Amino acid sequence: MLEIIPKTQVQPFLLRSLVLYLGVFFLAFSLIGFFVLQMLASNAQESIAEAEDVLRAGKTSQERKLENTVLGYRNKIQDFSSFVAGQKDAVPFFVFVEEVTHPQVFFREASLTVFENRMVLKGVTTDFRSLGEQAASLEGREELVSWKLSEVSLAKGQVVFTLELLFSSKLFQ
Amino acid sequence: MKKPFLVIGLWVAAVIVLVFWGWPAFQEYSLTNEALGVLSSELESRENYFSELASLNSELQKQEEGLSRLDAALPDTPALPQLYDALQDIAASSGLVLSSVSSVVQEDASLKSIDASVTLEGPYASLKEFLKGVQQSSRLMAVQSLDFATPKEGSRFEFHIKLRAASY
Repeated sequence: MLEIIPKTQVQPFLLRSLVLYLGVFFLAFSLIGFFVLQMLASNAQESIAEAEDVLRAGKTSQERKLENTVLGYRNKIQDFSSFVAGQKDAVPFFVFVEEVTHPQVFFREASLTVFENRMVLKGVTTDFRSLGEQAASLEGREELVSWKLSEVSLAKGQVVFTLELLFSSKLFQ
Repeated sequence: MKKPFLVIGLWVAAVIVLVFWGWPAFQEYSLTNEALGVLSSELESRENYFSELASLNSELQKQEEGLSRLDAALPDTPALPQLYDALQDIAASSGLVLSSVSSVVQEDASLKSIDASVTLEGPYASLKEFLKGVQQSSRLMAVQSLDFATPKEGSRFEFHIKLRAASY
């Protein structure tokens, strides 16, 4: 049925109010958000300034003292360990020589270089046979890396010689 | 008539606030927060470092005897009179006589080497006691080299020993 007088189109009240209140809410949210962010940024700036002050101030005298004490002892322990690791007991050299010396052989001079594991002995014996037996007693000894007999001569009825011993590091283990 | 303009005005104002104030404020906050994070982690590592040091220090204080031994083994100065005194004591307790002692201090490193030349007199049997005494001494020492010869008369040997000690 055709209407003679058309009705005016009225926007629904609810929709108009919704758009209005959403606009108010959006504006309020934006303003509140802006101020909150400003406040947070300002707090963060303050914290940065405080942290920078602490870092710029460096170590306090107490902290420096603590660091020196602990790191000093750490270095001392490391130095002690490396010194002890390089320290060799010289007694086993003599124990070995005493053990292998032939009854007829007399060593007159001894020179020991501990860090080279090297010992040079100058000795005398009554005859070449005992010198040969002395040399034979050194054969196959696991304490020795090598040995060398040199300057063998006969003087005043005695056999004079020089014996160079190079010891194995196993001797100290 | 006024309401539609009010609504549009509200929305435009909200967008302006969001775009020209809110967004830059958010960016500034993000950057500041990032910088704060970096500084905070630096502060945290610094605090961790010192708390670790403090806990190590308290552990060290419990080992008082060990620390005093360590200080005696590696003193803060060459302390040559104390070193010579220790050598004389070891020699005497081994049955040897310390007839001469001299030393050179190598100062080129943080840990200084003290190369001491020692001459001892006495029987051969005492030499091994002396070497054991050096090894067990509270002052850290190591025998570097040793020379001796059979005495022409009697049984009194002369031992020439080079030792190395250390200090700071």
